[in-house]
Amino acid sequence: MTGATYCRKRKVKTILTVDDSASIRQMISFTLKGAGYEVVEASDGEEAYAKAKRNPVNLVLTDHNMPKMDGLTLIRSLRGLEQYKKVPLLVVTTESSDAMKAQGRAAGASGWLVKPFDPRRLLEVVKKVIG
Amino acid sequence: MNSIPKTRLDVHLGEIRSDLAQLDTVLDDAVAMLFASFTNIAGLVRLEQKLAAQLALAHEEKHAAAAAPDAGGTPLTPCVDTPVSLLLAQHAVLADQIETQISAAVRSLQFQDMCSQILSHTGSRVSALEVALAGVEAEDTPPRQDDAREAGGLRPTAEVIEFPRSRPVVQHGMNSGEVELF
Repeated sequence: MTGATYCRKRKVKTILTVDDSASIRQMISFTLKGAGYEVVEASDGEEAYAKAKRNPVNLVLTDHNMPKMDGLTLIRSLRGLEQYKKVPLLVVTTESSDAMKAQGRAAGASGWLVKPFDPRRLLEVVKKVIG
Repeated sequence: MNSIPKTRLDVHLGEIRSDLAQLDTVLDDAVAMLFASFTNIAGLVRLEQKLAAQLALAHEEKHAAAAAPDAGGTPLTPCVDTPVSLLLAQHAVLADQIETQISAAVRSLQFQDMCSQILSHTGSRVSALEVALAGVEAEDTPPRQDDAREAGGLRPTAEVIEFPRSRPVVQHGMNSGEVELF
């Protein structure tokens, strides 16, 4: 197999990270890019929805407490799109209550990571859900 | 003068003090962890540099030995005692340790987001108190003559605005949070 063939076959997975905190987006991007993933960033749910609709991604990592559109609303909106029916949508947030997690699950979230996240654990989860 | 019930004031002030204490702990923890990470990374990088030098030397000696004609004389005494395979294994261990320290640093650097949320919560509490105290101030202003003709209910009352926001951050340190896949 030639190098070009290998690259075409092994398509790089793209992950959308959504957080109003620039430092969190930086940390997530640093972690994921270091592991070979492509990363797209958005600073709120509205921007994330527009980007995700325009260029579908393989995974979405979203905060919940954000201006314009919160994370759970973003998840509900994405689940309404055909191309996002089965895409993993994970919440990365400081919220840890069972009530919030239940709301997340009801909205269509695939998982819940409480901040501060451990980069190695994040990579394990990402690898598990999208390879 | 109508005043805000002391218990309500105490609740708001207590929450503010609690937010500030939490902020202090998070910052302390984050800085301590960052300092430890950077110190450890510095130490590991120095070790790695020494190891890299040993590997380079071992590589050179191997090449020199391969290139030297077989003159039947005294064999070269190797300068590097440790076998290359062991050096490579040590290198892999060091690389893993560096990764661990970088992970700890990345976790610590998330303190900015957490502190920002705590401060936002504190700010909202302070605003709620400002509104409540402004209400008290308005009530303390003596009514004008024509105001007094109005029936009751037109003068502002000192109502404390109930604070709807729950704490956005419950963590009191920088230990990594739990992960749950549904």
